[in-house]
Amino acid sequence: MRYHIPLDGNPSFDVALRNKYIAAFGSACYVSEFGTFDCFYQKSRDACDDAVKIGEVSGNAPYDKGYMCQPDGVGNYTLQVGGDVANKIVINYQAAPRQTPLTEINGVPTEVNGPYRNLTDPADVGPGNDFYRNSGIADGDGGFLRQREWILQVNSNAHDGGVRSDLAGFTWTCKGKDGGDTTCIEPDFLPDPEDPGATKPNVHHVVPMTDKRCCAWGTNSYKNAAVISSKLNGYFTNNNPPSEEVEQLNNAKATP
Amino acid sequence: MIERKHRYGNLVFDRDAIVRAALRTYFEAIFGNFPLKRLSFPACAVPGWTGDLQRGAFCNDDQCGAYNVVGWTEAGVVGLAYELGFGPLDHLDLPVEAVTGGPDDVRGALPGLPAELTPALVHAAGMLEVGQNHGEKLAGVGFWLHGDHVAGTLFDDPIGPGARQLVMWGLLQGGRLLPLSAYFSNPQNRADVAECARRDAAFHAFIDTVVNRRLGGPTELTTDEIATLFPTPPDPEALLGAQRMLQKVGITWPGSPEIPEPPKPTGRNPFLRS
Repeated sequence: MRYHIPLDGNPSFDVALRNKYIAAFGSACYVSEFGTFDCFYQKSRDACDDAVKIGEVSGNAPYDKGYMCQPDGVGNYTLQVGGDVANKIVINYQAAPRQTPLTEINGVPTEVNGPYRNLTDPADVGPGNDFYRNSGIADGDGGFLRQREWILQVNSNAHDGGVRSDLAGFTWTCKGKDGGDTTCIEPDFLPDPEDPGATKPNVHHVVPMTDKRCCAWGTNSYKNAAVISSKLNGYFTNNNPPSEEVEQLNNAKATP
Repeated sequence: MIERKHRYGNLVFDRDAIVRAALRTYFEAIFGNFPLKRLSFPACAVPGWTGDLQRGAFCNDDQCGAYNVVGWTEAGVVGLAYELGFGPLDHLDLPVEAVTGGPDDVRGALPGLPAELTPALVHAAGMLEVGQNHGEKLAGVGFWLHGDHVAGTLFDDPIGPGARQLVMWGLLQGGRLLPLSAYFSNPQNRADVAECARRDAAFHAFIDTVVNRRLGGPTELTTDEIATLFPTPPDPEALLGAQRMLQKVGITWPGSPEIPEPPKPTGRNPFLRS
């Protein structure tokens, strides 16, 4: 459940208007898996702070900023936005739809289909799930491998016992020793004894497990997995996956 | 010891039980993951340890971007957890200009922390990773335990990011920290975890024996115990790695032989190609 603010206009279809809301309200606003565009907030205070700006952001008449959000007693809030007491908007506390897991590549919404796409998913694949579930693959000792272990083993089997980063060569802006910006390049093999901490192999959710509003997002499907360094995983954090990342992973040879 | 009702169950926090469980999880992780894997579903993928049983910290890293840390002194325990995207800047309202790169970055997760627990916070914060842009210590939720008082954002925001990791310290079973999937997965998966624990019962009992002996002071493994740990000759590098890790917690091989240090890094940055 999240706080929903009623946007002016029809940003689900009007891309220019949508971009104005994203520029003003940031990661609260998103396209859902159903194609709708809305803004949802974890905290009522943040929802109220942004709701009062809807008029000016949309290009319509600005709202009167002289009023405060008022609780309605059943979990929602109202905000008077003009001189007339009837002129108010409702900030509803409601279920927020899942953010679309598709990433735009050259204008085309594209599903993540990473290098482990050929592995058979376990039964309990779902948004927000980690890779610590039973893979169903026997460990040779009467037990089972977790999904994470199976992914690392498949990677290692394909690389003569070493673990290769699925984003080897990926570049991003990072901090250099002097604190200034520099370009980091993902190493080919992990971990590197020179910096075992930052090069620890992480099994990364390409579409992050949890979105910016702390709602379940990426799944534990093998298609959504990539082996990368801990440092690069920290860089991606739970932002929208960059198109360059998805493109590189979707173009990678399937393992196995 | 204190019991608190929580969204995820009745949590029981006990300083000595948490420290023992940290040591137990550390041992379990060495032999529960590759290359020495003897168990299914260990509670930790990559363990970290600093200090000793009186004053120290343990890090439980999931190698997918999330981790939790417990730090302790004789006075009590501080627990902190992080999930990608939910550090102190995003989740605890820490302003960028207030970042110190030290324990104060995550104090927001520990409202009301008694002064006596500051050293435990320092131990715990020492194991946290840092943000790549601002250098802040990364944790978004925490708890503290001092005598029969327990508090923290784990209770104020009980289902916030990282809370599931921390509640496991209040849900120890038979002194064992359970893997998250023992609670937070579908019924079939939970049944698989329980069945594997039943199958691995003898090895779990073996871990308890060694850990309980270590609680009495530094200890050496016996020849029989080494045979149990390594039913087939291990890869020499893997063996050396296990010896180094166990030596750190005061568990050594018969005769406590010297273990060579790992090679020192040369200073080359693996992320910069020149």
